[in-house]
Amino acid sequence: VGALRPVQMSPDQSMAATQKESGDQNFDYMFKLLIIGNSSVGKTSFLFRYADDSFTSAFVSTVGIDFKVKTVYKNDKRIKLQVWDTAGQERYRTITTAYYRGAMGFILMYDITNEESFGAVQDWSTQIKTYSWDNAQVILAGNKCDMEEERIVSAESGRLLAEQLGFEFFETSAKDNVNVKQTFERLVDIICDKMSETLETDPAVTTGTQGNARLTDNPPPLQQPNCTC
Amino acid sequence: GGRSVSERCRINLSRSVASDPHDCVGVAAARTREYLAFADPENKFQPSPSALREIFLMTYLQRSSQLHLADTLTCTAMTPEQRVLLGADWVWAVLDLPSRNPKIQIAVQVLHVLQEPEANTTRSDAHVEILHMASTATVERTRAERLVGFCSAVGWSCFALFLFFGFGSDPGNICGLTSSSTLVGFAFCPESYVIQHLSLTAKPFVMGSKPLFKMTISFKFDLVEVRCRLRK
Repeated sequence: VGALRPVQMSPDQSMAATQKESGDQNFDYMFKLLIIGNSSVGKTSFLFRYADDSFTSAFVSTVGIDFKVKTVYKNDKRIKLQVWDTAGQERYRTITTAYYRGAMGFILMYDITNEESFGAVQDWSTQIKTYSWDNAQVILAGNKCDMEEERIVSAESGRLLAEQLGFEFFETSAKDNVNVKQTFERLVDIICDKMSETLETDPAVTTGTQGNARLTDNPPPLQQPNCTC
Repeated sequence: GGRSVSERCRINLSRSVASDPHDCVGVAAARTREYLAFADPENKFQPSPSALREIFLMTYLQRSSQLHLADTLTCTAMTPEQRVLLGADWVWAVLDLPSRNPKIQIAVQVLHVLQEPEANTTRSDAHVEILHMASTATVERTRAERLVGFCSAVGWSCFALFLFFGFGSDPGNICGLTSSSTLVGFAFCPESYVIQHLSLTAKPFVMGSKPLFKMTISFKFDLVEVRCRLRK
């Protein structure tokens, strides 16, 4: 996993919001993360809550793909998160799966009030295996846990399925801001753990042959042989 | 106040259209006001191309809401990141009810014809970084190619529409051109006001080395009628 070579930004009013975050040149690592799952489970709301701390109940179906950038700090390391918000509708599948490549982590989301979205988790898991790489880390998130009265999928069912698939698990609510930050933080933690593990066995990973390889024209050398983030 | 939508539109229709044929932004702004009932009491508003695009979109959304079109014909504005990645400024979609999945989509990219040519294609470093985040292949494609690529990836039911504000010889024209060779026609007629319509007449156009097809597209916001006719 390599860090991005900093890119010099120029003023552009229309891109002000993007520039503010993605123009940040000072980071030690960049992680590419994807949020996937059925349509209307709350992927976009989840990202809005995390990146902007905002929520609206109005539903706007995501067209194709979108992303936000957020920088987090871990053990004095700045980690830039490139979070891709994918459309859940089948018609965009060709577009969204093209972005799986190089992703280091996935938040696979279902809606606890929607059985179908829970039933589709296995298929989404298969998509990750098909289009991503083996070291990608996944967290299963049962969203909309604020809607207890309409719950159809029990927390226990979610936990069991996550266990079977080898994923970690959270129940979340973008609306009430429950476990949103925690989900991202945990995903970053397990990616870092995996990096440390992999670095010990396969130093080639640090040279950018996986993950964001295409983004690293001249990856700066890692400051430490182990990822201590 | 108490005026009906149609009365207000008639009033706006009587406003004069900018007369300088080379002032494409002013002309297109006037045209937009004319068609979409944008109110400019002092008639002095001269928006930049990007502001004009936003006005067109916001006015359309407002009109769409007034006419209760949103249940059948949605309009989704792209985020700045999506505008770069997908090449679309907004996407119109005819929904399949009750699933609300898009049945037909028209992904729109606005171009300002008489502007400096590079103004439509200039990339800021922020844009380039977004494209780099997507993939190297994406960086190498023009915004027009990205729009066509997006539509192709979605499938036959997604059309790329290049919307030209202030087309050359006809200063009052707003032209539309689609990349798709598929003939499609659809129409919806809910009970609504009879107000006005916007005609988009396509002209021959070549994007890079690929010739695009001529289409006549007309939007009747009153009847929610969208017709696309292929003319070879």
